[in-house]
Amino acid sequence: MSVKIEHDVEDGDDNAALDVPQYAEWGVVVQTKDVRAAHVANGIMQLLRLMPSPPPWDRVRLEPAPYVKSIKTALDIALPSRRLSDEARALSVCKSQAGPIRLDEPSTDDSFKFVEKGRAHLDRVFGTASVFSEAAHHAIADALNADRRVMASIASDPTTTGLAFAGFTDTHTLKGMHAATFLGLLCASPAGRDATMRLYDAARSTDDPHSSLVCALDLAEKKVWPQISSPAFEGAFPVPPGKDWSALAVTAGAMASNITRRQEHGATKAETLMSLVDLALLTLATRMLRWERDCSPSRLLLTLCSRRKTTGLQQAIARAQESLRRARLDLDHEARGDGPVKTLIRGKKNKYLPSVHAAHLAAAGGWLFPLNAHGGAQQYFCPGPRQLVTLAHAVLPPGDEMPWPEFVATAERAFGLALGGSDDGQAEVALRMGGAAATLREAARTNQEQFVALGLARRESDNVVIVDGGAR
Amino acid sequence: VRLSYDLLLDLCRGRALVVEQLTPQDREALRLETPLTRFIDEAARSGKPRHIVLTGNAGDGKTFAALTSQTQALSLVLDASAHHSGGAALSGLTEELARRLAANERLLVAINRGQLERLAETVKAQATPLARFVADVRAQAVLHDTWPPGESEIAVVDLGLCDWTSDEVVDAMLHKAAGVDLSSVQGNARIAAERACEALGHDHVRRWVRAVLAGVRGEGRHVTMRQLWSFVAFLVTGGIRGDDAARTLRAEDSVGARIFSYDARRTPLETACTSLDPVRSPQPDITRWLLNDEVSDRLAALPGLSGLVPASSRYRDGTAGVAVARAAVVHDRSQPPEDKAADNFTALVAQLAIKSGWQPSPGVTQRLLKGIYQSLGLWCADSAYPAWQILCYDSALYERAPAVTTGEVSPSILALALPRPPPAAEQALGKTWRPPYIWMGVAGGAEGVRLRLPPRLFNVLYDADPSAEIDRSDALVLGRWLSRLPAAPRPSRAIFISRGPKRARPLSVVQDDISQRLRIEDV
Repeated sequence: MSVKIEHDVEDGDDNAALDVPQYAEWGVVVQTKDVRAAHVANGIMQLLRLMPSPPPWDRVRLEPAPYVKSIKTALDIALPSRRLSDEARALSVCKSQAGPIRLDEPSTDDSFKFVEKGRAHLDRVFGTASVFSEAAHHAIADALNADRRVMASIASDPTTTGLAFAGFTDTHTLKGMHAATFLGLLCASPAGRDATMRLYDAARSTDDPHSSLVCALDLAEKKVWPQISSPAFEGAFPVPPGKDWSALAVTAGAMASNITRRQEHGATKAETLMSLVDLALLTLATRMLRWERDCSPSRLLLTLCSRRKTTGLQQAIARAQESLRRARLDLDHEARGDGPVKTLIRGKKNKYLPSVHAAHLAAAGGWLFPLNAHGGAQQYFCPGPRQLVTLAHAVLPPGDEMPWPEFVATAERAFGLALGGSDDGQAEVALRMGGAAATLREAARTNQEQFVALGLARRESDNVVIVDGGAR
Repeated sequence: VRLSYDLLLDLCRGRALVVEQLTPQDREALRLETPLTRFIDEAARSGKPRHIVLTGNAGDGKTFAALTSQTQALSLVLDASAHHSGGAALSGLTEELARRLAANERLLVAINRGQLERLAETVKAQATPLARFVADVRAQAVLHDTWPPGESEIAVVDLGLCDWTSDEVVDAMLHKAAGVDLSSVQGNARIAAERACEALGHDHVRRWVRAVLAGVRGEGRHVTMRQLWSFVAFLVTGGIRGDDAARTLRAEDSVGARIFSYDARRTPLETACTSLDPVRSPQPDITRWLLNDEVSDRLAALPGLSGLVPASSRYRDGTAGVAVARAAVVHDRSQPPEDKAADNFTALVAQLAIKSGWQPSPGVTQRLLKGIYQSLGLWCADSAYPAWQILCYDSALYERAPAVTTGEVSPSILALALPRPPPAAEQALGKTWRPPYIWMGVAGGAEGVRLRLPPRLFNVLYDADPSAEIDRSDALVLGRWLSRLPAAPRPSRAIFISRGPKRARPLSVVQDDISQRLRIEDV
């Protein structure tokens, strides 16, 4: 699989000036294509590595580019080895455009210096690199680089296991502000700060299997990460200066708190990290897709948890596709600006539209289907099984349960996802599609089935569905 | 009181759906002696429990049970399904309940589960006796592995948990139906009904009916009382009007053919009827009769078929041939349905129902655990159950990501538990209640590491059938549960990496204690 890494479409002064309003409105800078979940995960880890003294940010007029620069400088000072080491790259990559990469056979015409360093590293930890068979290399590479975001050159975002093993790519990891905004939102509320503290604690622990593997292979960052209390996270990361961010911060904080508290109820570190990254991408994507100038977000996005386009679901899926399509069109229309209103769209030619970025983010988090819109495929909100777990665990406090209508109403308020089965009349208006009542009923039935199948809800008599997160 | 043919016909056609519109005689004719009716009668006499709330699905027989009970001591409150007042029904119900509670009356409430939820939503902000009553009812509508000792004032009986397909209920229903009053039925319609009643009086025909219903039970699907009556009524009447005296009788009018031609779509019986249909298995003898036109001679002697298989008919066309094949098998005493032992889920439920709480069952849990590993394509051995975990942020790659582990699960920590209704409800439902799933988890039942196993998933894991594939949802549920199980760390710092189903064998990365160097080995 190849990763397309795009640099700025146009890097003129005008475009650079768009960073500030884009960030203020959407919390991200729309210039970096193909931001994937692993980039956000690595961004979060890089930022947490700076605790307890992250670089300050200007609360009044935060400019993303100087802020990212200050982050990089701080990382260079605090953590000179913040970039993925050659040894880690050698173990994480099995092939390049030039062909397979073998560590068990010395070669005279290696195109990549990191391969030599990898062999030397293996000689040190295994005694000899020749014991490292191709099968072993593949197995370990699959574990360290499960997201395929480390490549022979440039791409350096491994499947991070925490603070001890994270990478950094100039173009993707921090530049779009995705990780910074999510952490900033969490740090802006007490519940969110508690969640960040628990995330930090999980990230610095190394007793999970993946971290143990990294440590055993001698790839972990050799640093003792300090323990940090919840209040220390107050204001540690920036919150965008635009409107409505404080309300979103409270919601995001509560949701992240629910997810991280599940560690006390058996959730593993891997599960928690993955859920938080899914939540981050959903929060940022729906912020963009529901955005309107000078208005609080009120649009709902029809969500249907079925990938199979059966006869009965054809219309509902078509409506869900239409719902996302209209949201995207409206976002671009609003962003375009009119009269004295300044456009938020970058570049005059080959425009990289904000709606494309929003859809990329949602798809990267697994919230859309199909995940890839190549070939003109119509996407719609169709969370995968893992994302539904994230949604249920984010909305429900651990040990709590909610009747389906209450759960749906909460998800609508928090993310604008219309799952059906709450106040369908109101939802129909917020979907901005006429005659959607029957579709919402169909969506409710399908979504309930999926929640029950995943053990996140139980179906009682009379088709009453209680969402309990699977605890009972 | 005998059932009338017209009432059965209405049940078959779905016309007698509103219990309140039936006459008292019809209700009495339909009344079955069940543990529930005995419980209500006893409660009415003894005064304990003080209130009874019957809840469940539409058609489960809540209103019917309430109306046909001896309820002088209990004030009957029927929910909004019994009224035709539209949106005002809930407020009417709320007022009536509040008034009767204020008057210190004992209540017998029949209310749909959904309506109960709406009622709870309406009164949740109040601090009234009604709000407390509804909160108590909702608390008792939840299933627990154990209920604290002590009697409650309210018995909440969820008829959605009742297995109406139990032999006791089905036999009572077939007995009633076979004794239908045919005095108003004429001519050939009467002959068809008499043959149906005759057939249903025979045990081997009833075994086929029970086999179809057991098939539904094995799938974990719920049949309501209304659906069951509709099915039985169809077996007796076939939807033939009582005054259809000149009707031409055919093999399709036999009970054997009717069992499998039951075509009320979207009922739970649909799948079971299809899977057990004798036409789907090879019947060489019957094929030979059909080809040689020997059908009427061969079938004339079978009970319940006399007069339904005319000699002059030719049975080579599809519909008639299929009906003959069904009738020939079902009415033949020497061809009973395959006597399957109760499915594994049902058998386990019966075993676990004996006592409440978490119960170790090493044979079952170990077999299920192996089934989980096999269905996820993860490596395990008889003595080693690695606690595999997956870390991959990209959803598109998650299912192909390798699993890694540093610890092992001990199967001995696992136990099973049954989600149980309150003790009073168990008593009211007798031995006919059935949970929608069973729990597997750590002994003691820590929340968060409980796995719900509905019948379908349980049977797939227990049978470890390699051809039965689990879907993505099941895989995620099982994988998450496996990773959450407490796992003892391996002493030698070995790390296993499994690369998923049908791929390379797992590897272990082990640190040598003396040289401190790593080794990589095949497991």
